Amino acid sequence: MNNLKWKRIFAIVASLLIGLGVASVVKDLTSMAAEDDVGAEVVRAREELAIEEANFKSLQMQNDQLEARKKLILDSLSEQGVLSEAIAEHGKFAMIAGLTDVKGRGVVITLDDKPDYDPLKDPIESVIHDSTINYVINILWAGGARAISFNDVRLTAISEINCVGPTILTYGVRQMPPYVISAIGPVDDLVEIVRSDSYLARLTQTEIGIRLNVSQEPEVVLPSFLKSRDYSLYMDLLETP
Amino acid sequence: MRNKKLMQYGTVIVVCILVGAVIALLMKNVNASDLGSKSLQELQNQIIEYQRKNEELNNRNARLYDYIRELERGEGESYLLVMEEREKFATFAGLRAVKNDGVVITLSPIGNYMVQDALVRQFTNELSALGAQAISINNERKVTTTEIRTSRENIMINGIAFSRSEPFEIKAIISPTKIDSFVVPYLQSVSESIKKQLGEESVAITVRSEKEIIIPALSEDRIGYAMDLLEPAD
Repeated sequence: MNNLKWKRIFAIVASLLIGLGVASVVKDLTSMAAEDDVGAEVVRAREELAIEEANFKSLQMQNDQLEARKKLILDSLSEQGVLSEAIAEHGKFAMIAGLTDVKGRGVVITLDDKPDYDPLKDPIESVIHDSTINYVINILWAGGARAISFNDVRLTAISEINCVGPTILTYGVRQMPPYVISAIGPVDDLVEIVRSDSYLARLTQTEIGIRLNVSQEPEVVLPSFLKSRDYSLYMDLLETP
Repeated sequence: MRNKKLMQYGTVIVVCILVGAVIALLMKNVNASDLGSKSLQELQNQIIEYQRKNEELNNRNARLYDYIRELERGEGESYLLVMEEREKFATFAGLRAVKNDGVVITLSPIGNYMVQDALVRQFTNELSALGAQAISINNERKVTTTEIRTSRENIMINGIAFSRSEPFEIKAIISPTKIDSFVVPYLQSVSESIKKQLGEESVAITVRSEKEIIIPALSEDRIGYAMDLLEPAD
């Protein structure tokens, strides 16, 4: 009797496996053509992306040359005593606005989601949100930071960091973890304000699991906002009173 | 009797084969279409992003080229160009007063409630995400270095203490075309959800559109003007 029961079970399992195998072969044969189509589209998209990347590099190189040329002319005018005051203020305002590359002593903070984040088990705070990034940036300003970049995008008077679905955008530029916040400022104060913050301490506890690393750097270089976006797009509504 | 049993076995085996086939087909479909469309979609997003960046950079290079040509030509034109760009930089940095249509958000604490810095930050972050080009909080211009942080009974903004028991007024200049159709209703819905979270007896929030808002410049004694720890990198 027992023997018969095992035979039946074996027959059922064997039949299921045969079904899986047959369907797999049939599916492979019929979907090969469809996969070829998708594969071809992916290849075309990759080629198009490579062209756009190359264009970007070439435009950026052209931009660097033009900016260098402009700086040379302004420096030369200033040295000749022509417009020296206006040029000095021009440079100062550009620096305050975040429109020049700057360097100085600072800190680099790296934030990353909980490893192997499971949306069914882990709290929502185990993933970095725009609010987490904005929080860290705010405490760095409170600690006296003079300039900050987020994933190599320089922050300006309107620091546009927000979420669209699961993606964090900075001025419309998509960001991926790990998130790197670099700040120039009084290093000891910046480190202290991050390390002593109770909210960040809670986020890094095992049950939430956010990974946070703070490092002091003798020289942090922050790019100009112009390397990411055109600033004039962010001030077309502003009129003089 | 034996034939009937064989028929039963045969039926069970055929049904099992069919069930197995259906499972296999379903799994293959889900995996293949997911992976294919995901990577293609990701690539297409990257292409769109690069196209946008290239267009912006191309326009900027063209303007920069014209600017350099004018500078090289010299004479009075150079002075005007430098002054014009200097003013643009100052305006972008928040060092000049600006005006246009916008929204005004007022956060008024009720009873003994004290306004939280997170609430002020939430609204300024929402406004930035909505495309605000200039923001002030209690007439303090929000600039690059602006912090909004609680310090006991106050909230510090640009190093200035504002009492948490007093109302906070946030002003923003935002695209006039979407103020009434989208921005105000959206901010009102944010206010409603905050009120539900904090309780009705905590803070009164009003959101209104206003014509010709004036947002002041950053005062020259604020940390936003400090460049002592920055060096040009080029």
